[in-house]
Amino acid sequence: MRSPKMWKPVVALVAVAALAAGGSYAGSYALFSAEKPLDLGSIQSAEFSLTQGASRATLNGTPVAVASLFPAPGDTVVLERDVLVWSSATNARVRLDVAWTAPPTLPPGTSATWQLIDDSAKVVASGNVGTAGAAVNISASTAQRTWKWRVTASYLTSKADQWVAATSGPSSERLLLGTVRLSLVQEGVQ
Amino acid sequence: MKVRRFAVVGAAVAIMSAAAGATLAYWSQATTLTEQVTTAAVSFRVTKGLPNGSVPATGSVVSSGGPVTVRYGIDEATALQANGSAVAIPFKVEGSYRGWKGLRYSVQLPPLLADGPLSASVRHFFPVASPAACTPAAVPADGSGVALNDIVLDTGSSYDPDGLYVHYWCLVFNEFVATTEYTNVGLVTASYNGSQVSDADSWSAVVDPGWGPGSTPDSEVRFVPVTFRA
Repeated sequence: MRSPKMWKPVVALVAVAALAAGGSYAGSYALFSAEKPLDLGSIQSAEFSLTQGASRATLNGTPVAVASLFPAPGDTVVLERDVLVWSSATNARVRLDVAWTAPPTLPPGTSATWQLIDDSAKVVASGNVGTAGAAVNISASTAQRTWKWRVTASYLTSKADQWVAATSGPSSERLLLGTVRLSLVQEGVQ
Repeated sequence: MKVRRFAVVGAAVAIMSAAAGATLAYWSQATTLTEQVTTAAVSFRVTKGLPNGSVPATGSVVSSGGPVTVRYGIDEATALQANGSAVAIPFKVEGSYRGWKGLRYSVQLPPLLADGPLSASVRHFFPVASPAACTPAAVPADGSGVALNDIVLDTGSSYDPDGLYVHYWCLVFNEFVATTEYTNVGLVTASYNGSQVSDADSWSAVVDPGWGPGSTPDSEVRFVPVTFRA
């Protein structure tokens, strides 16, 4: 049988251990603490988009449907398509690239140019069809802006080879204006 | 174990590099546009048919923007002589005018040269519905045909951009006089001692001018096309 004196240190150690464990669990070591939610507000990402809109055509200034558009010598055809541009990023530098993925094929006696026109009717880029270009430093806006992609094709008055040896109906030429790729590109931050 | 640690470090660097590359791409959005226009086209051609026959599929005279001149002469004169009284030659006029409202043309018939069988007949030119309708009997009652100016191939009211419009015309030579008859009369009158004596005699001959096909000069029919939009 053990001596009662032997029990005292054991009981003391157990008590200390229990206090230590209990204190840790009860947060006795946390000292002072206070919590309050901090409102950091919300962050909204910028809008960035480029889409096509309505298209229209004129023949010598008169609106016509593209399907019934048959330009003849001396005529000027304008094909126009809305391009909806939107970049709301106020700290981003943005440009709109014009590149041709399929080159135009123009019959002799014809010519065609392109223009990129912003929503203030200002020509921001232009060139002959088939040549690249870019509109740079596009400013941020709070909503989509309607730009215009415009191609103007002209026939020389003296063009005579529209007279064809038709055997079963008109044999028209195709004025292939190519395929253009418009790219809205972020090129860095301001 | 060293090798494995190195591989793990390498993968981490690769992932970080990929993340960095994506960051550099920024935003980009593209759209493509393809445009093409079908141009206007005009065609106008005339095909001369066979005498008293059909219009062949070949041999047309095509306009390159100016008048179309179709010649005739020897074959038609030969047919006229063979027939003995008349010959009819059909003409086919074809035109299209995509991009224009219409196409009008005029027909010009220069005077015949005074030689050959054709010049010994009466010429008529008039529209017909088909080559088969082009016969000497189809000559209009007034003898001449229509006014040969500004014949409109079609009008805007029936405009068909894919259409090929066709007219037929008929050129007829009739009242052919193959030979002429010549009669000469001689009259003799005499007076003797107050009395007169007269006598007459006559003789005639059929005159054949001797026209062979080769003696027929070329003649022509001119078709002058003009497009219009108004």
